[in-house]
Formats: sequence, structure tokens, C-alpha cells
Amino acid sequence: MLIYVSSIPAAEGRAKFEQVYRHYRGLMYEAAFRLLGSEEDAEDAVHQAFLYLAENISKISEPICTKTRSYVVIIVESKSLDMLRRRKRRPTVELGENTPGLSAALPEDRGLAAAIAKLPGRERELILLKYAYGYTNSECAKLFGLSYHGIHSLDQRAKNKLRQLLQEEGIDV
Amino acid sequence: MNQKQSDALLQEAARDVCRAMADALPAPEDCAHAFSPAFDRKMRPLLRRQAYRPLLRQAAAVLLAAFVGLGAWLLVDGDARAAFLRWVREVYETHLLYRFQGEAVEADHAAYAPTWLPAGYVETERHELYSQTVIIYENAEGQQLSFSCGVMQEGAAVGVILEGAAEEAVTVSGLPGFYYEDPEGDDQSTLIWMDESLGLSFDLQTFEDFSVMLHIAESVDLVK
Repeated sequence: MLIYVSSIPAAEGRAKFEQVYRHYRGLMYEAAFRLLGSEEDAEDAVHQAFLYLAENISKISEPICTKTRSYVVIIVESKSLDMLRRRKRRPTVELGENTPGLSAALPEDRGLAAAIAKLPGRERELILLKYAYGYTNSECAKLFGLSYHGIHSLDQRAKNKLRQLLQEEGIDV
Repeated sequence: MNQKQSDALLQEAARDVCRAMADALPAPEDCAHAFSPAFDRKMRPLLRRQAYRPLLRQAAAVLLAAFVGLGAWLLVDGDARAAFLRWVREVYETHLLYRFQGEAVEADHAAYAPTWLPAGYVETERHELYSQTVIIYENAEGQQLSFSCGVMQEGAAVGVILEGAAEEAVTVSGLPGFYYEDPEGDDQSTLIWMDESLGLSFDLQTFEDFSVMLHIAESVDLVK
């Protein structure tokens, strides 16, 4: 039995949610399918993303705008990466590369932005949510299903990798 | 460059990347996917709030009835209470999740802390969340050490991010635990241990070596 613990709190929030759902569900499916390669899994990821958005609708001020478009893409990417990780579950701990996220090619001369774009999926999501959407570490921890200092560790690692990428490009940090 | 300027650059760059990610996809109006009936069925209750309220009430009543009888048994039998709490270790490619199942016991996660720390560490942050307390300590060299105590309850989880970390089963004051060390030494090591009799999980992250971590862990006690 699936129980929805949270609900969209007010009529305004519900209207906003429905607008987001109608306008972006196809886009979110496209993003999820590019990562997951399966229609069923992509729909699952979109559903998970909307469950999250329903509880966090206050994060969206304007339903139809470029900022919201990017935001819903990041959220569905996060849920898709969760599913990819669940697919790769192993009985023992294994070495493995960080799962990459959606493509976000930027010219090399974009420096910091190009370096952020190259980060592995989860680290990049953390940087984007924190710096483009004002997420706190606690909010990121909740989205990623990590403990507080799990997210603190991820934050540190993301910044270390970013520093490393910038140094490799000869950019002074 | 100060922190504010650095944050402003990060914000601008992050927004550029967000736009690039969305621009790499078709426009929303050009994404015409015919969703399955199963998807529409799952979305319907989310779009119509009233439709699932009765389901919530019914589910809550069923769960409450199931736990009333169980609760009485658990209160009189301490061993049964300890046995009922279960934690499941889920292994993923890049991280581990310790997920807890079972009825929560009353435990004050904010009452525990290390009573010994290496010289120079002072408490710099404390976060008392709903079911977890996290304390951050820092020394003069800027090295951080974090301690966390959480209530083991249904739905709670502790995550450990791995990047080639070696895992070792350990005991902390006779309690079961796991130790994770980054072989490169670039990342902090993590020590997790569980006290099912108290219904609490503990974890420690630091760059200190294992013997120091164990000393810190074994010093954890009631401080309130």
C-alpha cells in the first residue's frame, strides 16, 4: 500500500503543481529516458520527481519560466540517478566511477561553468541546487537520502573536484 | 577574492550550467510522450488531494491496530524490543545506506556526545534535527571532525558515500560497527556503530587514524 505522507498545502500550491505537471512532464520524461533508457523506468523517475515536487512546491515561484524548467530537469535527473544506482546494487562494496548526469556541454572558455558541468552527477547536482536554487545542505541531504554529514562530505568532495578541474585547465583558484 | 565574491561567481556559473542542461533537451512543448495508464493512475491521487485522504485514514487505523498489541509486548520484554529493531545495510555502487526498520524506542539523540577528543578540537556547530543530532568540531588547523547520533526508527537512514573506500567490521565498546577508510587519504574516514538496546545509531567522520577514532567513539556517553 503506497501512502502519500505529504500533500500540497493550499489551493495556490495545487494550481502551481498542476501547471508544472502539465507543462514539464514530457520534458522530464525525455530527460529521464536519456539516463535510464527504459520507458517504464523513466516514467517511474518522473513520478518520483513529482512526489518530491509536491512536497517542495514552494521552491517554485513561477511555474512556467527557464529557471523552473532547469529545476525540474535537475530533480528528475536526481531521481533517475537514484534508480541507476539501485540498478547497480552489488552484494559487496566495489570500486566504481561516479555516475555521470545529463549532458551539459559548455565551451572550455566558460571556465568555472565548464568545470561544474564536468562534475559527476551527484556532485554537480549539489553545486547547482545550492548555488542556483539556494538549497541548504539539509535540503540536499533530504533529496539525496543522506545524513547531514554525508552531505557535508559530498559538498567537500564536490569543491575539491571543482578545484582540481580548474587547476587542470590552468585557471587560478 | 572573498567568500561573497566567490559565492557570486559560483551562483552565476551554476545558473549557466542549469540553462545548458535544459537547452540540451527539446523544448517542453516538443516533448510529446504518451504516458502509460499505470503512470496516470499513480499521478491521479497526487493531483487530486481529496482522493487519497480516506486511504491515509484507513491505512493509519490498520497500522495503529497492528501496533497496539505489539506495543504492549515490547514494553514488558526488553529483549523482544531489542530484537524487533532491525537495520538493513543496502550497498550501492557509490554509497551505502543503513536503513532502519521497526518501532522506534524513546531515545534522546541530543543527550549523547564524545567525552574525549584529540587536543585542539572545539565544538563549532550543533544541529539538533528531528531524529538526529550532528556535532561538528574543528581544530586550529581547520581539520573537522563530525559526530552524529540518530534514533533508529522506521524510515530513518544513514548514508555513507564511498569512493574506493575499504570496509572493515569493527566493535565499539562491544557494539557492532563498520569502519570505512579512503585508501588515498584524501577523504575523511567514517566509523558507524549501532546500539540496538538504546535504539540509537552513531557515526563519526574525521581524518584521524582508526585508533583515535575508536578512542573517541568509545568515549561517547550521556552528557545531558
